Amino acid sequence: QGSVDCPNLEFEYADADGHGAELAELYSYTEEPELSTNRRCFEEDFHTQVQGRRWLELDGAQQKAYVMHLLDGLEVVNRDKRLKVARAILYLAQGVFGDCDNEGDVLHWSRHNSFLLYQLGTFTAFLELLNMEIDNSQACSSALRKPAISLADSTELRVLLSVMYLMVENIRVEQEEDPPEWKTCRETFRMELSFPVHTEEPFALLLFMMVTKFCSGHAPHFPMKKVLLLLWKVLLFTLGGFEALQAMKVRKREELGLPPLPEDSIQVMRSMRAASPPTYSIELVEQQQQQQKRGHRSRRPLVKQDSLDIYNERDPFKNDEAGVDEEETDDVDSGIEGELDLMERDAIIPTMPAQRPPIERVSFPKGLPWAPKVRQKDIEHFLEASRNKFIGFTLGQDTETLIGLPRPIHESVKTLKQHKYVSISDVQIKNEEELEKCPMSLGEEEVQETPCEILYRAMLYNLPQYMIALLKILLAAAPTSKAKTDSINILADVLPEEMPITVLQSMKLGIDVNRHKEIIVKSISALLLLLLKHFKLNHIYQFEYVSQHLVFANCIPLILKFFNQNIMSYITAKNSISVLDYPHCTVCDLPELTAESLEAGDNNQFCWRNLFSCINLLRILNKLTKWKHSRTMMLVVFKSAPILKRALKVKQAMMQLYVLKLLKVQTKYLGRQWRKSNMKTMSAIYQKVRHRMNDDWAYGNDIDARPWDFQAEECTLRANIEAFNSRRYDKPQDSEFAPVDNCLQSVLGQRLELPEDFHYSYELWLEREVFSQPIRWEELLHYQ
Amino acid sequence: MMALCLKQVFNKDKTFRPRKKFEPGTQRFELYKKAQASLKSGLDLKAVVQLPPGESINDWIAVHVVDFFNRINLIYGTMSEYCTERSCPIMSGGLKYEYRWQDDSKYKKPTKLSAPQYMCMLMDWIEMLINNEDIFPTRIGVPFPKQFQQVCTKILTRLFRVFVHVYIHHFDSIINMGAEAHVNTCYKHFYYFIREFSLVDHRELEPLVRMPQRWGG
Repeated sequence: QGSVDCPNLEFEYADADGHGAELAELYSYTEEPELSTNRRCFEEDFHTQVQGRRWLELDGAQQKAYVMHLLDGLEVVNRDKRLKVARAILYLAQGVFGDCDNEGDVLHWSRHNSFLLYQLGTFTAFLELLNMEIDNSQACSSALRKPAISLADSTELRVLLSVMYLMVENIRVEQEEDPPEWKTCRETFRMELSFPVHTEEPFALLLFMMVTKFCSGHAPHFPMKKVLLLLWKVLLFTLGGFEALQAMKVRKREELGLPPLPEDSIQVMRSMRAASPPTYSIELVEQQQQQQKRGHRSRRPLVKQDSLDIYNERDPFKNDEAGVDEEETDDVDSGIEGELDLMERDAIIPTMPAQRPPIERVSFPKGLPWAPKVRQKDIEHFLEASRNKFIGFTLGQDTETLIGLPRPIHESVKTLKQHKYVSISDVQIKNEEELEKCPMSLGEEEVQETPCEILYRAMLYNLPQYMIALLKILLAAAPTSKAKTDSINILADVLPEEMPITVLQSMKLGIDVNRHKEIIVKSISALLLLLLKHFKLNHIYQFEYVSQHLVFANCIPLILKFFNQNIMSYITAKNSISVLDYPHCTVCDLPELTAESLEAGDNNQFCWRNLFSCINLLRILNKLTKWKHSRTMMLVVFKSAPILKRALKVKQAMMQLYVLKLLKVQTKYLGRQWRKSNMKTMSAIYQKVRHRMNDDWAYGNDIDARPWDFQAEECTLRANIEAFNSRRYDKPQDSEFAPVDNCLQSVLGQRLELPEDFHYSYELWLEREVFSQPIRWEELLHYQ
Repeated sequence: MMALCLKQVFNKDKTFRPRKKFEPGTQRFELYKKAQASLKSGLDLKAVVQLPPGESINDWIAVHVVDFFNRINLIYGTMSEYCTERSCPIMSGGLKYEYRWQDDSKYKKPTKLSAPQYMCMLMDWIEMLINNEDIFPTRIGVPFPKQFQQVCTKILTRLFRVFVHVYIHHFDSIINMGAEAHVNTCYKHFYYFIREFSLVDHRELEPLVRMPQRWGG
């Protein structure tokens, strides 16, 4: 299914998919019959309260009154009755589709009702119910005893989580026509979720706890897909999406007195065009063979893919090694868009000194999307190397003294300084160093209580477990993983009670299962990326803490393993049955499903959620490895280059950019042979990835990177992170800094544990040791 | 077309007289026009290669050798898909010149290799030399070996052959990629460098002897 000529994908990366699509993904197709159940529960009760009218016909006050009545109904002891009421509320949140004519109406009422429900305190009520369900040990133990868990075991939880999800998602998304009270509602809801009043912890933490409980095996019936979707949207709502992040970053730079960012990265990436990927004759042949098979849903696995276990063993790409200069066919269309400007950066002259005043910002060369950046460290290294060579000794971190160095060096330093970029992280690290050095004199650190800070503080204690659990689920949901008997079962909430009998039913379930896994991957990849980005902005060591735990939990090979599949067919997968999607299925008659219609899928060029997931995972991988030599070496050691190169086939600029970044950081370890045979990739890197001055990525040749040095780097980082966490969040343990009690009253008032015989012997002791001993005053005079 | 050709012949810059092979209308003439058009751009490379005051000559040569190696490696890479066993069964520089490979290990006697094989051997061999700390020391204070310049001569001589092969056999591919200005500039730099320090024997330069004349060099 991956064709040679992948057309440019019309994909706009965003915080999430379209509103309708996001709501549709809440439900699996096996749950679809429950929609009518919800409707029935509502209408049965509604008709007892309001005869002969429809919900849509009620006015505001009447609607409110009915909702209050329903909420009262939640207080009953009987679990089944509670479930019925919850279903009725769910039907409201789903948009009273029984009274709607078209999808637009359903979505409109879903939104309207969500705001209404929130205003009347539904979220709090459902939160209590959720807590009760989580603690329901009976449900847990009955699930544990069952040989096969299905949809039926998570019924209550699914209803509760669905209501909460609909409320969060509907309220989160701003629309222009929103009345002002809805705007207020949104802010109140956001505050409620971010700054908990009654409980100590933000709501997100409850969901994290559900995830770990599920992964520990104590609650296999938890419907993970819904939990993860809700967790993702709650984080998105409380912390903010990508645009909000960008605005926060700009603001923070201003606050810290840093110069503004050289460009708006979101804008730049939107306007980038994809490059034509290199094609390989091997795969062309395979494609031809594939096209000859009929009706084959090709998820064309690579040779030996099933035995790929990144940890263990034989390199499945061993065959490729000899032929690493794969011949590129003439089929490739006329080169990469734009000129092959390889030699343009005249490496002969170190720099072309621009006759400009030093404060002016240098504009970047035409044709390249990113301004070059230089770190303070880079300037220091450059000067140290020059001083070593020309003078013979070094001056540490001095970047001002240029005495004795030849003129071209002066000019180079000037150019480097013009492109210097100081990141927020640099400032934070420096700050942290100072706080560590002077814990007393600098006083308590002023920490802003943002939703992010509160979340981190709450997550801190169990953070490693959360990360491990998320990765465990991600691994289970990845397309390249096989079902293992000992690990967790993420399909519990999509499998029907009775297994399918007919071929059609099997096909439908197959699609449903794949879709289920795709949505899980989507939510985990999105929420991890959000966490990493927000924590990094909040404080670099929070980010490093999360990153380190992800890395220790083998996130890097996991992501590489994920990409070690036919990415093209993953991106173009059609695991959806649009007639069964909400809200379409609620207002339109269900046509007859046939095997052919299931095969055909939809008309989309690509699968939005899968492309979104891929980009997220690539971004995460970039964040984990950037500037970390030890982790970059992992990329090399795991032989990620061929895997990443295959991902370049997807003609989407943003995805390619993040792949190219990962390749760029490895090129100097891959050897000249690789570079020579991958000139198109080298050119793409040059054109699309930001340049770092003095970065020897294209020519450097460090084949012997030493793997045994990795430990030291990670250990130092770990020490810094622990110092940060304990300084900011631990109660002071160190007795050296604890204040001493020198008030006589309180010291005398303290209880002291004395040995039993002291009562009897102390008078004797006093007589012997104190009163009978003469005081030799002259000895005092001797000891000066 | 005729007018253009005559203009070339009566060009006031003419230090070059078209020979019989360069008949107007032939492919070689077109190629030659392209080559000339791109060479006269850029900086004064002849001045740039001179040894700066205070710089050690071995250092200067070493840096350039590595640099040229890297760049020529990439130049070859850009058209390596067109240089195959079939298209270039021997490493040649036109009909007149043929290069055979010899080293101290597998090929004790000069052996005819295909161009891709020759390139491969060549790049690996240079890489090995460059990575050898005894020949190209990287730590400050460690001196260069006595035979350093001879080693460089050998490296540069062989690198020159890459240019010969690329220019004579694959220049059309370079033009298709729009890279002729870059290759030409690199070659010009290389040429001035080896002339400045007399690092390549003039007999080796024979296959591309016409090129410098276009620059007035």
